[in-house]
Amino acid sequence: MISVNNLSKSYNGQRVFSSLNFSVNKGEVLGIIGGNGSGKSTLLKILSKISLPDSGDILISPDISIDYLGHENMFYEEMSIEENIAFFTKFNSTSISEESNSKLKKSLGLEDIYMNKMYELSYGQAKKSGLYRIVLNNADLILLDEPFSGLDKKSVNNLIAIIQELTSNNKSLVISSNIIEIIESIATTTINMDNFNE
Amino acid sequence: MSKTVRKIPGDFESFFHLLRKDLRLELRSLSTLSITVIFTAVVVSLFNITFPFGVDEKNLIVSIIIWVIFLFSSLIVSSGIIDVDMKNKSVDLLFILGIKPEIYFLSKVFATVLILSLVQIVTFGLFYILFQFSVNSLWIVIVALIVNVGISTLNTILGIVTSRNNVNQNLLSILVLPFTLPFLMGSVEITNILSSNTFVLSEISNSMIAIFCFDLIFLILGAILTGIYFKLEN
Repeated sequence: MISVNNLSKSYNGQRVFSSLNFSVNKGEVLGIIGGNGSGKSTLLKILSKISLPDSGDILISPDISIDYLGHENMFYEEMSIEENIAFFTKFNSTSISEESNSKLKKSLGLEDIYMNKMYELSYGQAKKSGLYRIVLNNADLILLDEPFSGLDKKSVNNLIAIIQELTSNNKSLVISSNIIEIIESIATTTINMDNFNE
Repeated sequence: MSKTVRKIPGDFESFFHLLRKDLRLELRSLSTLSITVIFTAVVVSLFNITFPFGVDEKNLIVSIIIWVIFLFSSLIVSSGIIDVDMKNKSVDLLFILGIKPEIYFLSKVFATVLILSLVQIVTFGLFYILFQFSVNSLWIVIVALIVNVGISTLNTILGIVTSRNNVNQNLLSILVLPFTLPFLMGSVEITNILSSNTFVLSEISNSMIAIFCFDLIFLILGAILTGIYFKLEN
């Protein structure tokens, strides 16, 4: 589905990572771990095409859709979760059924705050609304940057269940996190970015 | 997790989807529109108090004031329209989801044009009330529209560049000024002629065609340059 060869990136002459190689197949989860500043977020931005690498190739199968959730949920602050979801899910070809939708909304704890404006939400609630959009958009390759940060234990467990359901539906995921135990429990393969800084 | 399949919106549909979102956000908060209308009202009132014009020069000076006020109002409007997408990096999500930068650019231009049309109605209304300045011709509507499109296009191009580079928004007004001079000079000349009530079409046709051509050039160039800019910016 996606294959990365000899990828390198630097900012202002300082190398972030170099000679990075990996591939992700259908239904697989690639876990990205590493210390602060090791390039986890940069790598996900490059895969989502928000940023460009200095060198290297990224080969992506034709006709696959990609979705990304970074540290910010990228929603419009002045709109409610409902309005943001209605707006952003318009640009994708598939969505989940109404039944799965209600189940998902409940498992993420969004039912009571669904009509709230984004600026009224806590960091964790905003994060969960971003995750909700990701699942609804139903992309083939999903890139999640630190999806567990800011979530309580119950929400983390629910998210792990959602990720497992996505992979069972042949979705591929690239997930960065500092919580190594969770990454090791869900990832098919893991890359430590600290090994690519030199 | 069962799924349903729906049609991916085409460029035209995406354009209207983006435009609708911008207008809905603006009309709901009225943040940009209210600031612009207050700004216009204050400036027009100040001029009304400080300038007791003689009859001969009134129309020309009022024509200049109208379009200078419009230029600065347009800066407030376009900054507001563009900032909405930059705040939470929503614009990046739009591109990830497949929106073409060219479509994004055109939707921003037309959202600005529509909101500025309301500002123009208020501006001309205030000048009519406070200066008894009236243009008894439908041609002014066409002039207002084509100048609006041109200035909105320029503001959108420069607004995207300044906000994406975290450059102070004040720089936008400095950058915009030299580019908008052809529009301003043409629109002042046409407004002045139209206000005389005895004009013939041939007097304004050259300026109108020139402004219309500028609109087309900047719209096409703006759409292409925005596409290139967002690719290079990465």
